[in-house]
Amino acid sequence: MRINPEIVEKLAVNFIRTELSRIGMRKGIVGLSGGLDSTTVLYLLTRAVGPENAVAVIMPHRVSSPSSVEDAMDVVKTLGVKHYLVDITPMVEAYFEKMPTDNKVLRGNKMARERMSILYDISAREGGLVIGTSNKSEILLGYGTIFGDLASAINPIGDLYKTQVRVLAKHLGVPEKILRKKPSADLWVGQTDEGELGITYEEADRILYELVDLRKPVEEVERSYGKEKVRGILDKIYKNHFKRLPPQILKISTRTVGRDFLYSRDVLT
Amino acid sequence: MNIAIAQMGPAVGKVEENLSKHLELLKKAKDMGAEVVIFPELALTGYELYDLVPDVAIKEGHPIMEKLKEASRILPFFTGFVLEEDDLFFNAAGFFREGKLVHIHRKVFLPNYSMFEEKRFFAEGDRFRAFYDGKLGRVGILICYDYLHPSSSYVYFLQKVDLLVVLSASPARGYPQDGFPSIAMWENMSKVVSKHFTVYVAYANRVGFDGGMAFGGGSHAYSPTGEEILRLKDLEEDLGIFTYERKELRRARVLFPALRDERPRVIYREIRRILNED
Repeated sequence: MRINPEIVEKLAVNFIRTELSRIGMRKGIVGLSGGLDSTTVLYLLTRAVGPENAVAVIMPHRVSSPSSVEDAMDVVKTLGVKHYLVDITPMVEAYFEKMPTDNKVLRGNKMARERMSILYDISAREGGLVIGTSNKSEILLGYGTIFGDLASAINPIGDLYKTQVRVLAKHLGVPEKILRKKPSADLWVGQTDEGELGITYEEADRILYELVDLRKPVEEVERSYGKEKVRGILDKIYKNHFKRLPPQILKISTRTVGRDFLYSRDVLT
Repeated sequence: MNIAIAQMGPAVGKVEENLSKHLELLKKAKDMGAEVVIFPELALTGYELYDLVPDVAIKEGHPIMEKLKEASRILPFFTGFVLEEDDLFFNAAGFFREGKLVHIHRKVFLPNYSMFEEKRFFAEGDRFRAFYDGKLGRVGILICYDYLHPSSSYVYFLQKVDLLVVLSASPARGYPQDGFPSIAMWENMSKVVSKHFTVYVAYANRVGFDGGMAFGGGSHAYSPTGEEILRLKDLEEDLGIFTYERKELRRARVLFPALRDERPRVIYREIRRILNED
């Protein structure tokens, strides 16, 4: 699962440029958390369209770790891109005043969707596309909020595992402190991806790579990593498959959108 | 004889736009001294067509077909398009020269695995027929997956072809090390086919993106002794020329008389035996 980050950078930059110009837009909008994935995407975007057309949106909530905003601001300064700083506490809390809950996941999902809503608003104001920052590990494990952080127009890192994104980030010159940060959705205090998933990315990525990319028989992968871990990952992959697809449409006619009405995403653009 | 490979990226479904790109590149290649130009698979239509297949198909008399023929007055060329015949649609490649469509190949091996779904949208061709051109000698056309089956090149070899023209739309795939493994795969094939069948191979792959798939480029030409004589860039538009010489074919065949020593009757008998076994 080694990658040549130079080739990947070139391809991703070319991809962002091509897709933007296809739709007739110059700008890209990235929700910047100060973590590895969004910082990597902002670096790629800046190389693709220049700092004048790269827009970072920093959207902290009062539970967000203070260092997240600081790190995000440092990235914005280093790259010289335009940024918006939008505190989402008032809108999220206004909702939960009416609909109170202690459920961390419900609160986290609401925050993720609030951020999506702001990103799409700013993308319309700026005349740009929302650039996705979900990586292959998250997408396969379903570790994201549908219509929240999983929403985007194009995603240059969605086919790279977390550990591969780190290799790419290092090559792009992403600051050391961001490279070394513990991956976290930062939706509540003390949350970490690896804590929630119950497995390290190093190991999860190896297992995913063997199952998904190499299509090794499950039993063989289980022998290397243990039955419980592999079963756990397979469960997550299938249970969350809906997050990767458009909604299921009841088939009534002979040509149903998504099933037998098939066009390339790039059709006639 | 100078042959150009035009490594371009057509837009899905935008036939007029892709046609203009053909004209532009024909003129550019001519200025560079080319005498023939090779475009990639489905260069006229883009690759990820799905339900657009019938909408972009052309046949004799279609205005786009007439414009393609007209374009060949600039320079003769090979290009890929969707051919309509008896209400069937083929992934096809044609050789156009001096206002005429001289030869058509219909893709025989339609890939239907992984990211490919060609059998769902195209009819299968059923022949590999070489044709003769006064300047190019005997020519065989292959389209992408056709070429990954060495049997296709072998059938042309038995027809004594001098030049194999491969039109391709091959997505870059596999985590890249020195380059994408999928690009190296085509080079390996060309190294072997050109040397062991003592033919010139010209492989034209496209670039650009369809639905997030990046096409690999890496178009190339190999001499009949198996030497790389042209290598275009990976993943970017490019245009390059190689020289095709009759005397190189002769030299290669003096060095390695593969065709003289081939025993097609033995092969034929064995294939017949294998097929009759069930």
